Amino acid sequence: MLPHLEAAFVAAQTASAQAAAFRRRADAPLHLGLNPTISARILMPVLRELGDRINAFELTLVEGISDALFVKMLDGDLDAAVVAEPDKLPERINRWLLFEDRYVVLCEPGHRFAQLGEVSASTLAEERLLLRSQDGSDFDRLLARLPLAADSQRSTRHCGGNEDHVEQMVAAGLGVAVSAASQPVAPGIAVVPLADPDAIRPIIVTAVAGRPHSPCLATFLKLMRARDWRSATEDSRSAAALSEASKP
Amino acid sequence: MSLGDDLDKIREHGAANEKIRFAYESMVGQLGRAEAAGRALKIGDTMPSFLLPNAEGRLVFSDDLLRQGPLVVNFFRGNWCPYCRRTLEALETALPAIEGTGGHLVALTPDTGSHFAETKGRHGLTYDILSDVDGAVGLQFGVLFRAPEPYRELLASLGIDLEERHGNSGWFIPIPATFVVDQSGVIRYAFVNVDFTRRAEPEEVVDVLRALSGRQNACG
Repeated sequence: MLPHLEAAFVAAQTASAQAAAFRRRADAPLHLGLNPTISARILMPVLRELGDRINAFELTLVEGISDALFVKMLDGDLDAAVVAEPDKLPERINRWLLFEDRYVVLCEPGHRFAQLGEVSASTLAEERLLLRSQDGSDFDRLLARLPLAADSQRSTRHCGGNEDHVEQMVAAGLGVAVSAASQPVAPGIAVVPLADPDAIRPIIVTAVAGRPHSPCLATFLKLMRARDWRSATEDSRSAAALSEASKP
Repeated sequence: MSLGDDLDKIREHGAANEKIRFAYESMVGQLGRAEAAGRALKIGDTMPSFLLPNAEGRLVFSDDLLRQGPLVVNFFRGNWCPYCRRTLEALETALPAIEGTGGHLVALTPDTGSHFAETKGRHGLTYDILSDVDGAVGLQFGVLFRAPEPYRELLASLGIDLEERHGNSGWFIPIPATFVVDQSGVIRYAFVNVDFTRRAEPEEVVDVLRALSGRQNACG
Protein backbone atom coordinates (compact mmCIF):
# COMPACT_ATOMS: atom_id res chain seq x y z
CA MET A 1 0.00 0.00 0.00
CA LEU A 2 1.27 3.51 -0.72
CA PRO A 3 2.80 4.92 2.47
CA HIS A 4 0.55 7.97 2.42
CA LEU A 5 -2.57 5.89 1.97
CA GLU A 6 -1.38 3.50 4.66
CA ALA A 7 -0.96 6.42 7.04
CA ALA A 8 -4.49 7.62 6.28
CA PHE A 9 -5.82 4.08 6.74
CA VAL A 10 -4.08 3.77 10.12
CA ALA A 11 -5.50 7.18 11.09
CA ALA A 12 -8.99 5.97 10.17
CA GLN A 13 -8.58 2.79 12.24
CA THR A 14 -7.32 4.84 15.16
CA ALA A 15 -10.28 7.19 14.78
CA SER A 16 -12.68 4.23 15.13
CA ALA A 17 -10.88 3.01 18.24
CA GLN A 18 -10.80 6.54 19.61
CA ALA A 19 -14.56 7.04 19.26
CA ALA A 20 -15.27 3.59 20.71
CA ALA A 21 -13.01 4.22 23.72
CA PHE A 22 -14.64 7.60 24.30
CA ARG A 23 -18.09 6.02 24.19
CA ARG A 24 -17.26 3.27 26.68
CA ARG A 25 -15.33 5.70 28.90
CA ALA A 26 -12.21 3.54 28.81
CA ASP A 27 -9.11 4.16 30.93
CA ALA A 28 -7.00 6.82 29.30
CA PRO A 29 -3.38 7.04 30.42
CA LEU A 30 -1.05 9.52 28.75
CA HIS A 31 2.68 9.74 29.42
CA LEU A 32 3.97 13.01 28.07
CA GLY A 33 7.49 14.45 27.95
CA LEU A 34 8.37 18.13 28.00
CA ASN A 35 11.65 20.05 27.75
CA PRO A 36 12.53 21.94 30.97
CA THR A 37 12.75 25.07 28.80
CA ILE A 38 9.08 24.80 27.79
CA SER A 39 6.46 25.75 30.33
CA ALA A 40 3.68 23.23 30.85
CA ARG A 41 1.38 26.22 30.94
CA ILE A 42 1.14 26.22 27.13
CA LEU A 43 -0.42 22.76 27.33
CA MET A 44 -3.03 23.81 29.86
CA PRO A 45 -6.03 24.28 27.52
CA VAL A 46 -5.42 20.91 25.85
CA LEU A 47 -4.89 19.13 29.16
CA ARG A 48 -8.00 20.77 30.59
CA GLU A 49 -10.08 19.57 27.63
CA LEU A 50 -8.76 16.04 28.05
CA GLY A 51 -9.45 16.13 31.78
CA ASP A 52 -12.95 17.50 31.27
CA ARG A 53 -14.02 15.17 28.51
CA ILE A 54 -12.17 11.90 28.95
CA ASN A 55 -13.20 9.70 31.78
CA ALA A 56 -10.30 8.11 33.70
CA PHE A 57 -7.78 10.46 32.04
CA GLU A 58 -4.47 9.80 33.81
CA LEU A 59 -1.59 12.09 32.94
CA THR A 60 2.09 11.66 33.73
CA LEU A 61 4.35 14.57 32.79
CA VAL A 62 8.09 13.94 32.56
CA GLU A 63 10.70 16.62 32.10
CA GLY A 64 13.89 16.12 30.14
CA ILE A 65 16.14 17.23 27.34
CA SER A 66 15.04 16.05 23.91
CA ASP A 67 17.51 13.17 23.50
CA ALA A 68 16.51 11.67 26.84
CA LEU A 69 12.81 12.03 26.04
CA PHE A 70 13.22 10.37 22.64
CA VAL A 71 14.96 7.41 24.25
CA LYS A 72 12.05 7.06 26.66
CA MET A 73 9.58 7.27 23.78
CA LEU A 74 11.37 4.62 21.73
CA ASP A 75 11.52 2.42 24.83
CA GLY A 76 7.77 2.77 25.25
CA ASP A 77 7.93 4.75 28.50
CA LEU A 78 6.50 7.91 26.95
CA ASP A 79 3.66 8.32 24.46
CA ALA A 80 4.61 11.72 23.12
CA ALA A 81 6.82 14.72 23.84
CA VAL A 82 6.64 18.45 23.25
CA VAL A 83 10.12 19.78 22.57
CA ALA A 84 12.13 22.52 20.93
CA GLU A 85 13.10 20.84 17.68
CA PRO A 86 16.73 19.67 17.78
CA ASP A 87 19.01 19.77 14.75
CA LYS A 88 18.44 16.09 14.09
CA LEU A 89 15.49 13.92 15.04
CA PRO A 90 15.75 10.13 15.40
CA GLU A 91 14.40 8.40 12.30
CA ARG A 92 11.52 6.73 14.07
CA ILE A 93 10.15 9.93 15.55
CA ASN A 94 7.27 11.70 13.82
CA ARG A 95 7.01 15.43 14.38
CA TRP A 96 4.40 18.10 13.81
CA LEU A 97 5.20 21.78 14.04
CA LEU A 98 3.07 23.71 16.53
CA PHE A 99 4.62 27.17 16.36
CA GLU A 100 7.90 29.05 16.03
CA ASP A 101 9.07 30.61 19.27
CA ARG A 102 11.44 33.55 19.27
CA TYR A 103 14.38 33.61 21.68
CA VAL A 104 14.55 36.56 24.05
CA VAL A 105 16.80 38.03 26.69
CA LEU A 106 15.64 38.47 30.30
CA CYS A 107 17.01 41.41 32.26
CA GLU A 108 16.12 43.76 35.09
CA PRO A 109 13.76 46.62 34.09
CA GLY A 110 16.51 49.16 34.79
CA HIS A 111 19.10 47.34 32.67
CA ARG A 112 20.26 49.05 29.48
CA PHE A 113 18.82 46.16 27.44
CA ALA A 114 15.31 47.06 28.60
CA GLN A 115 15.56 50.28 26.56
CA LEU A 116 16.44 48.42 23.38
CA GLY A 117 13.97 47.06 20.82
CA GLU A 118 16.17 43.99 20.44
CA VAL A 119 19.55 42.70 21.60
CA SER A 120 22.33 41.65 19.23
CA ALA A 121 24.66 38.75 20.01
CA SER A 122 27.65 41.08 20.27
CA THR A 123 25.81 43.26 22.79
CA LEU A 124 24.76 40.16 24.71
CA ALA A 125 28.41 39.09 24.88
CA GLU A 126 29.20 42.19 26.95
CA GLU A 127 26.99 41.00 29.79
CA ARG A 128 27.23 38.34 32.47
CA LEU A 129 25.13 35.49 31.16
CA LEU A 130 23.26 33.30 33.59
CA LEU A 131 23.35 29.64 32.70
CA ARG A 132 21.26 26.55 33.44
CA SER A 133 22.95 23.67 35.23
CA GLN A 134 21.35 21.02 33.02
CA ASP A 135 23.33 20.57 29.79
CA GLY A 136 21.82 19.80 26.44
CA SER A 137 18.87 22.18 26.46
CA ASP A 138 17.91 24.26 23.44
CA PHE A 139 19.07 27.37 25.37
CA ASP A 140 22.53 25.78 25.52
CA ARG A 141 22.40 25.09 21.78
CA LEU A 142 21.41 28.69 21.13
CA LEU A 143 24.30 30.08 23.15
CA ALA A 144 26.71 27.69 21.43
CA ARG A 145 25.74 28.91 17.97
CA LEU A 146 25.44 32.64 18.71
CA PRO A 147 28.51 34.59 17.57
CA LEU A 148 29.57 35.45 21.10
CA ALA A 149 33.26 36.34 21.57
CA ALA A 150 35.43 33.72 23.26
CA ASP A 151 36.40 36.10 26.04
CA SER A 152 32.83 37.21 26.64
CA GLN A 153 31.20 37.26 29.99
CA ARG A 154 29.86 33.81 29.19
CA SER A 155 32.25 32.39 31.78
CA THR A 156 29.95 33.19 34.60
CA ARG A 157 29.81 32.01 38.18
CA HIS A 158 26.04 31.93 38.24
CA CYS A 159 24.06 28.88 37.28
CA GLY A 160 20.42 27.98 37.97
CA GLY A 161 18.85 24.54 38.29
CA ASN A 162 15.52 25.53 36.79
CA GLU A 163 13.74 28.46 35.17
CA ASP A 164 12.57 29.89 38.48
CA HIS A 165 16.16 29.97 39.76
CA VAL A 166 17.31 31.79 36.64
CA GLU A 167 14.46 34.33 36.79
CA GLN A 168 15.19 35.12 40.42
CA MET A 169 18.88 35.61 39.64
CA VAL A 170 17.91 38.02 36.85
CA ALA A 171 15.63 39.89 39.24
CA ALA A 172 18.47 40.05 41.75
CA GLY A 173 20.68 41.74 39.17
CA LEU A 174 23.14 38.88 38.93
CA GLY A 175 23.09 38.94 35.13
CA VAL A 176 20.95 38.42 32.05
CA ALA A 177 19.59 35.17 30.65
CA VAL A 178 18.25 33.84 27.38
CA SER A 179 14.73 32.50 27.32
CA ALA A 180 11.89 32.18 24.80
CA ALA A 181 8.91 34.38 24.02
CA SER A 182 6.36 31.70 24.95
CA GLN A 183 7.81 31.28 28.43
CA PRO A 184 5.79 32.96 31.19
CA VAL A 185 7.93 35.43 33.06
CA ALA A 186 7.30 36.92 36.47
CA PRO A 187 6.44 40.62 36.61
CA GLY A 188 9.43 42.78 37.28
CA ILE A 189 11.60 41.19 34.61
CA ALA A 190 12.05 42.81 31.22
CA VAL A 191 11.90 40.70 28.07
CA VAL A 192 13.75 41.82 24.93
CA PRO A 193 13.88 39.87 21.65
CA LEU A 194 17.21 38.61 20.35
CA ALA A 195 18.17 40.27 17.09
CA ASP A 196 19.63 37.18 15.41
CA PRO A 197 17.25 36.02 12.62
CA ASP A 198 18.10 32.40 13.48
CA ALA A 199 17.14 32.94 17.11
CA ILE A 200 13.92 30.99 16.64
CA ARG A 201 13.03 27.60 18.06
CA PRO A 202 10.38 25.44 16.37
CA ILE A 203 8.17 23.88 19.04
CA ILE A 204 7.03 20.46 17.91
CA VAL A 205 4.93 17.62 19.23
CA THR A 206 6.41 14.20 18.62
CA ALA A 207 5.32 10.57 18.71
CA VAL A 208 6.93 7.32 17.64
CA ALA A 209 6.40 6.48 13.97
CA GLY A 210 4.69 3.22 13.13
CA ARG A 211 3.46 2.59 16.66
CA PRO A 212 -0.32 2.47 17.09
CA HIS A 213 -1.66 5.45 18.98
CA SER A 214 -3.78 4.75 22.02
CA PRO A 215 -7.18 6.49 21.85
CA CYS A 216 -6.01 9.02 24.45
CA LEU A 217 -2.76 9.74 22.60
CA ALA A 218 -4.69 10.10 19.33
CA THR A 219 -7.03 12.60 20.95
CA PHE A 220 -4.15 14.52 22.50
CA LEU A 221 -2.32 14.77 19.16
CA LYS A 222 -5.47 15.93 17.36
CA LEU A 223 -6.08 18.66 19.93
CA MET A 224 -2.46 19.79 19.70
CA ARG A 225 -2.38 19.82 15.90
CA ALA A 226 -5.78 21.48 15.47
CA ARG A 227 -4.98 24.27 17.92
CA ASP A 228 -4.25 27.84 16.78
CA TRP A 229 -0.96 28.37 18.58
CA ARG A 230 -0.63 32.01 17.55
CA SER A 231 -3.07 33.09 20.22
CA ALA A 232 -2.29 30.23 22.57
CA THR A 233 1.17 31.50 23.42
CA GLU A 234 -0.18 34.98 24.12
CA ASP A 235 -2.78 33.50 26.46
CA SER A 236 -0.03 31.61 28.28
CA ARG A 237 1.99 34.75 28.98
CA SER A 238 -1.09 36.77 30.03
CA ALA A 239 -2.30 34.02 32.35
CA ALA A 240 1.10 33.80 34.02
CA ALA A 241 1.32 37.55 34.47
CA LEU A 242 -2.17 37.69 35.98
CA SER A 243 -1.37 34.80 38.27
CA GLU A 244 1.75 36.51 39.61
CA ALA A 245 -0.04 39.86 39.98
CA SER A 246 -2.78 38.32 42.08
CA LYS A 247 -0.35 36.87 44.63
CA PRO A 248 -0.39 38.70 47.97
CA MET B 1 -30.05 33.26 -6.07
CA SER B 2 -29.09 29.70 -5.18
CA LEU B 3 -25.71 28.42 -4.04
CA GLY B 4 -25.44 26.74 -7.42
CA ASP B 5 -25.80 30.12 -9.16
CA ASP B 6 -23.04 31.58 -7.01
CA LEU B 7 -20.76 28.64 -7.71
CA ASP B 8 -21.48 28.91 -11.45
CA LYS B 9 -20.06 32.43 -11.38
CA ILE B 10 -16.91 31.27 -9.62
CA ARG B 11 -16.54 28.40 -12.09
CA GLU B 12 -16.85 30.71 -15.08
CA HIS B 13 -14.17 32.94 -13.67
CA GLY B 14 -11.86 29.95 -13.08
CA ALA B 15 -12.50 28.54 -16.55
CA ALA B 16 -11.02 31.69 -18.06
CA ASN B 17 -7.63 30.69 -16.64
CA GLU B 18 -6.12 27.92 -18.76
CA LYS B 19 -3.94 26.56 -15.99
CA ILE B 20 -6.84 26.32 -13.56
CA ARG B 21 -9.10 24.82 -16.22
CA PHE B 22 -6.55 22.15 -17.14
CA ALA B 23 -5.92 21.12 -13.54
CA TYR B 24 -9.64 21.08 -12.78
CA GLU B 25 -10.59 19.00 -15.83
CA SER B 26 -7.70 16.65 -15.22
CA MET B 27 -8.64 16.01 -11.62
CA VAL B 28 -12.38 15.75 -12.11
CA GLY B 29 -11.83 13.48 -15.09
CA GLN B 30 -9.48 11.22 -13.16
CA LEU B 31 -11.82 10.96 -10.19
CA GLY B 32 -14.76 10.32 -12.50
CA ARG B 33 -12.98 7.49 -14.30
CA ALA B 34 -11.99 5.98 -10.97
CA GLU B 35 -15.63 6.22 -9.86
CA ALA B 36 -14.33 7.83 -6.70
CA ALA B 37 -17.77 9.09 -5.64
CA GLY B 38 -19.03 5.50 -5.70
CA ARG B 39 -16.83 4.62 -2.76
CA ALA B 40 -18.52 7.10 -0.44
CA LEU B 41 -21.07 6.13 2.15
CA LYS B 42 -24.59 5.97 0.75
CA ILE B 43 -28.16 6.35 1.91
CA GLY B 44 -28.89 3.51 4.29
CA ASP B 45 -25.28 3.16 5.49
CA THR B 46 -24.43 3.79 9.12
CA MET B 47 -22.24 6.77 9.86
CA PRO B 48 -19.01 6.07 11.77
CA SER B 49 -18.80 7.89 15.10
CA PHE B 50 -16.14 10.55 15.30
CA LEU B 51 -14.42 12.63 17.97
CA LEU B 52 -12.74 15.74 16.60
CA PRO B 53 -11.53 19.13 17.87
CA ASN B 54 -13.47 22.25 16.95
CA ALA B 55 -12.04 25.71 16.33
CA GLU B 56 -12.35 26.55 20.03
CA GLY B 57 -10.19 23.60 21.05
CA ARG B 58 -13.13 21.58 22.35
CA LEU B 59 -13.80 17.96 21.48
CA VAL B 60 -16.99 17.28 19.54
CA PHE B 61 -18.41 13.74 19.66
CA SER B 62 -20.88 12.86 16.94
CA ASP B 63 -22.83 10.52 19.24
CA ASP B 64 -23.61 13.48 21.53
CA LEU B 65 -24.94 15.50 18.58
CA LEU B 66 -27.10 12.63 17.34
CA ARG B 67 -28.65 12.29 20.78
CA GLN B 68 -30.01 15.81 20.29
CA GLY B 69 -31.22 15.52 16.70
CA PRO B 70 -30.27 14.62 13.15
CA LEU B 71 -26.85 15.70 11.95
CA VAL B 72 -25.68 17.42 8.79
CA VAL B 73 -22.04 16.49 8.10
CA ASN B 74 -20.36 18.64 5.49
CA PHE B 75 -16.86 17.87 4.18
CA PHE B 76 -14.96 20.80 2.73
CA ARG B 77 -11.42 21.17 1.41
CA GLY B 78 -10.32 24.28 3.25
CA ASN B 79 -10.82 28.03 3.28
CA TRP B 80 -8.30 28.27 0.45
CA CYS B 81 -11.05 27.02 -1.89
CA PRO B 82 -13.49 29.71 -3.11
CA TYR B 83 -16.23 27.11 -3.63
CA CYS B 84 -15.82 25.90 -0.05
CA ARG B 85 -15.90 29.43 1.30
CA ARG B 86 -19.14 30.22 -0.50
CA THR B 87 -20.70 26.94 0.59
CA LEU B 88 -19.78 27.50 4.23
CA GLU B 89 -21.41 30.93 4.10
CA ALA B 90 -24.52 29.52 2.41
CA LEU B 91 -24.81 26.93 5.16
CA GLU B 92 -24.55 29.70 7.75
CA THR B 93 -27.49 31.42 6.07
CA ALA B 94 -29.45 28.17 6.17
CA LEU B 95 -28.49 27.45 9.78
CA PRO B 96 -31.68 28.81 11.40
CA ALA B 97 -33.73 26.56 9.13
CA ILE B 98 -31.48 23.58 9.86
CA GLU B 99 -31.67 24.12 13.60
CA GLY B 100 -35.38 24.82 13.34
CA THR B 101 -35.87 21.18 12.39
CA GLY B 102 -33.90 20.08 15.46
CA GLY B 103 -30.83 19.34 13.36
CA HIS B 104 -27.16 20.19 13.93
CA LEU B 105 -24.52 21.09 11.40
CA VAL B 106 -20.80 20.37 11.46
CA ALA B 107 -18.26 21.01 8.71
CA LEU B 108 -15.07 18.94 8.54
CA THR B 109 -11.77 19.95 6.94
CA PRO B 110 -8.31 18.38 6.94
CA ASP B 111 -6.85 21.81 7.79
CA THR B 112 -5.08 22.18 11.14
CA GLY B 113 -3.61 24.98 13.25
CA SER B 114 -4.18 28.61 12.40
CA HIS B 115 -5.64 27.86 8.94
CA PHE B 116 -8.35 25.77 10.50
CA ALA B 117 -8.98 28.13 13.40
CA GLU B 118 -9.38 31.25 11.28
CA THR B 119 -12.01 29.72 8.95
CA LYS B 120 -14.81 30.30 11.41
CA GLY B 121 -14.03 33.91 12.28
CA ARG B 122 -13.12 34.97 8.78
CA HIS B 123 -16.48 33.84 7.36
CA GLY B 124 -18.71 34.72 10.28
CA LEU B 125 -19.69 31.12 10.94
CA THR B 126 -21.48 30.10 14.11
CA TYR B 127 -21.67 26.35 13.61
CA ASP B 128 -18.88 23.96 14.48
CA ILE B 129 -15.94 23.58 12.13
CA LEU B 130 -13.99 20.43 12.97
CA SER B 131 -10.40 19.57 12.14
CA ASP B 132 -10.36 16.13 10.52
CA VAL B 133 -6.68 15.64 11.30
CA ASP B 134 -5.04 13.37 8.70
CA GLY B 135 -8.40 12.96 6.96
CA ALA B 136 -9.30 9.93 9.07
CA VAL B 137 -13.04 10.61 9.14
CA GLY B 138 -13.05 11.56 5.47
CA LEU B 139 -11.53 8.18 4.70
CA GLN B 140 -14.16 6.45 6.85
CA PHE B 141 -16.87 8.26 4.86
CA GLY B 142 -15.15 7.23 1.63
CA VAL B 143 -14.63 10.80 0.40
CA LEU B 144 -10.85 11.13 0.76
CA PHE B 145 -8.53 11.11 -2.24
CA ARG B 146 -4.98 12.12 -3.05
CA ALA B 147 -4.79 15.25 -5.17
CA PRO B 148 -3.21 14.31 -8.52
CA GLU B 149 0.07 15.88 -9.55
CA PRO B 150 -1.30 18.61 -11.91
CA TYR B 151 -3.66 19.79 -9.20
CA ARG B 152 -0.92 19.74 -6.56
CA GLU B 153 1.23 21.85 -8.88
CA LEU B 154 -1.62 24.29 -9.41
CA LEU B 155 -2.20 24.70 -5.69
CA ALA B 156 1.51 25.14 -5.05
CA SER B 157 1.67 27.82 -7.76
CA LEU B 158 -1.11 29.65 -5.95
CA GLY B 159 0.82 29.49 -2.67
CA ILE B 160 -1.46 26.86 -1.16
CA ASP B 161 0.72 24.45 0.79
CA LEU B 162 -1.42 21.52 1.88
CA GLU B 163 1.53 19.85 3.60
CA GLU B 164 1.81 22.82 5.93
CA ARG B 165 -1.95 23.16 6.36
CA HIS B 166 -2.52 19.47 7.07
CA GLY B 167 0.69 18.63 8.92
CA ASN B 168 1.34 15.65 6.63
CA SER B 169 2.74 15.13 3.17
CA GLY B 170 -0.15 13.08 1.80
CA TRP B 171 -1.96 15.90 -0.08
CA PHE B 172 -5.24 14.15 0.70
CA ILE B 173 -8.36 16.26 0.32
CA PRO B 174 -12.01 15.33 0.63
CA ILE B 175 -14.45 15.17 -2.25
CA PRO B 176 -16.77 17.94 -1.03
CA ALA B 177 -19.79 16.12 0.32
CA THR B 178 -22.84 16.63 2.49
CA PHE B 179 -24.56 13.91 4.46
CA VAL B 180 -27.73 14.05 6.54
CA VAL B 181 -27.77 11.44 9.30
CA ASP B 182 -30.80 10.49 11.37
CA GLN B 183 -30.65 9.96 15.10
CA SER B 184 -30.05 6.24 14.76
CA GLY B 185 -26.88 7.06 12.83
CA VAL B 186 -28.26 6.06 9.43
CA ILE B 187 -27.48 8.21 6.42
CA ARG B 188 -30.66 9.60 4.84
CA TYR B 189 -29.12 11.94 2.27
CA ALA B 190 -25.77 11.93 0.55
CA PHE B 191 -24.45 14.49 -1.92
CA VAL B 192 -21.02 13.46 -3.17
CA ASN B 193 -19.73 14.99 -6.38
CA VAL B 194 -16.15 14.67 -7.66
CA ASP B 195 -16.72 18.02 -9.34
CA PHE B 196 -15.74 20.22 -6.43
CA THR B 197 -17.44 23.20 -8.05
CA ARG B 198 -20.85 21.64 -7.38
CA ARG B 199 -22.28 21.39 -3.86
CA ALA B 200 -25.46 20.36 -2.14
CA GLU B 201 -28.07 23.11 -2.10
CA PRO B 202 -28.78 24.04 1.52
CA GLU B 203 -32.52 24.13 0.75
CA GLU B 204 -32.39 20.49 -0.28
CA VAL B 205 -30.66 19.61 2.98
CA VAL B 206 -33.31 21.47 4.96
CA ASP B 207 -36.06 19.64 3.07
CA VAL B 208 -34.52 16.30 4.06
CA LEU B 209 -34.33 17.41 7.68
CA ARG B 210 -37.94 18.56 7.60
CA ALA B 211 -38.99 15.18 6.22
CA LEU B 212 -37.07 13.44 9.00
CA SER B 213 -38.66 15.68 11.56
CA GLY B 214 -42.10 14.99 10.13
CA ARG B 215 -41.47 11.25 10.29
CA GLN B 216 -40.30 11.61 13.89
CA ASN B 217 -43.41 13.54 14.85
CA ALA B 218 -45.66 11.03 13.12
CA CYS B 219 -44.09 8.21 15.12
CA GLY B 220 -44.68 10.10 18.35
